[in-house]
Amino acid sequence: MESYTDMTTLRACTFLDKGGVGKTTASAHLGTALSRAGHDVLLIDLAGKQGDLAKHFGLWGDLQGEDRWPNIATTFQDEWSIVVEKLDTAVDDLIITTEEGPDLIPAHEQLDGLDATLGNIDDTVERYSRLDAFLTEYIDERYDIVLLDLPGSTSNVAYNGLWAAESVVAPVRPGPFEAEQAAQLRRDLDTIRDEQDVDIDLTMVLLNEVDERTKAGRIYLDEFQTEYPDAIAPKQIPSSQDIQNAQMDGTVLWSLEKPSKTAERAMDAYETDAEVLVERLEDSA
Amino acid sequence: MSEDDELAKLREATDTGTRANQRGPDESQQQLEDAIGTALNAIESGKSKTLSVRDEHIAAILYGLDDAEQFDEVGAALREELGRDKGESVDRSEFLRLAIRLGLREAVPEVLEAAKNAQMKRMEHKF
Repeated sequence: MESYTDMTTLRACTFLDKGGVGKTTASAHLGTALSRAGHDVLLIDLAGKQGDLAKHFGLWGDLQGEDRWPNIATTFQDEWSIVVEKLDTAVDDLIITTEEGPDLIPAHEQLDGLDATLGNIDDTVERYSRLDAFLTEYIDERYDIVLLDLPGSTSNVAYNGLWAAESVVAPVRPGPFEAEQAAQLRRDLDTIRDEQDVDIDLTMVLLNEVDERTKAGRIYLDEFQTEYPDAIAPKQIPSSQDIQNAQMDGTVLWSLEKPSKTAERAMDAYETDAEVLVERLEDSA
Repeated sequence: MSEDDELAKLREATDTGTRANQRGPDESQQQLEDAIGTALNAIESGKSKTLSVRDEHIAAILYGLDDAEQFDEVGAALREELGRDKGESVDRSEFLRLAIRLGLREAVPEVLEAAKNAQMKRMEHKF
């Protein structure tokens, strides 16, 4: 396995300006697939205070009982450098390990208030570059790949994630509304490139819950392949009850004792897509 | 201050809370305006308007300016910066009032704005 120790840390974010499309599920499964392929992976949950990414690894219950500080919201603040100076374990304290492979910086309820706090910063660069500064100085040296799970809305925290990652993985469910959302994402990224001078790439469009056995499924697949020939993921994630089952068990597909055939196909799809994601990120690095 | 105390202070300083307990900027400003208005009424009704400052460095600055015969010059500069009329020489009380106003204007102009609005509202009510 090639070592990425001396290479630039690859970053990507899962983002679509819509809730419930499977961003967190994609983050958890792509992150696990990458970890299983030998990469050192860090997942960061910026998607609100519900802790969904930690739930995917069965960790949120334990975290709920702790009043974690420092937490991910702390890293955005002016005082962060002082926190690191005063507390030797500040960065280590943020990170938790999962049994499934990737490390995780979980969400925290202070992300909610953080968004409003960021809104008080007039200067755009100052407001949107905080996460990038944190990752560059404290995280990149530790990991090969960092995946950010972003909120399903264009918030100040989301913009920090887009600026830090510069590569977007957009999970979409095939459907008319979702097709429009993907098109809107492309327009939003164009706007960010033009107005904020940040080079953000739509690196992967990941189709979730595709049922190629149905006519509608095949039509949507064709449409997305036509519309996003370079960005579409090589394998679509099939609809599988096991994905929900795994989530309810607080784990990912690879930890299921008896995965179904669709679960096997989904795991294979995530592994293939994760590999291609790395290739695309390397090409643009 | 112990290390634990410093960390506790940092923790408090970095607590952003949730959106539910964040005041919007307009709400904070209105609250300040109302509070200043209440204070102005109280002062008009007899609450003391005398404030004292105990600070060895500020005291040393003022004594030093006096001894170096530069007090009037600096006082005039404060007046000019705030757009006040030139007049008699500045006494210590006015010097401090000007310095505080200038500091507020530079660092937190919205506070002076709230004070101005509170005063205007009081004037309107008097009609």
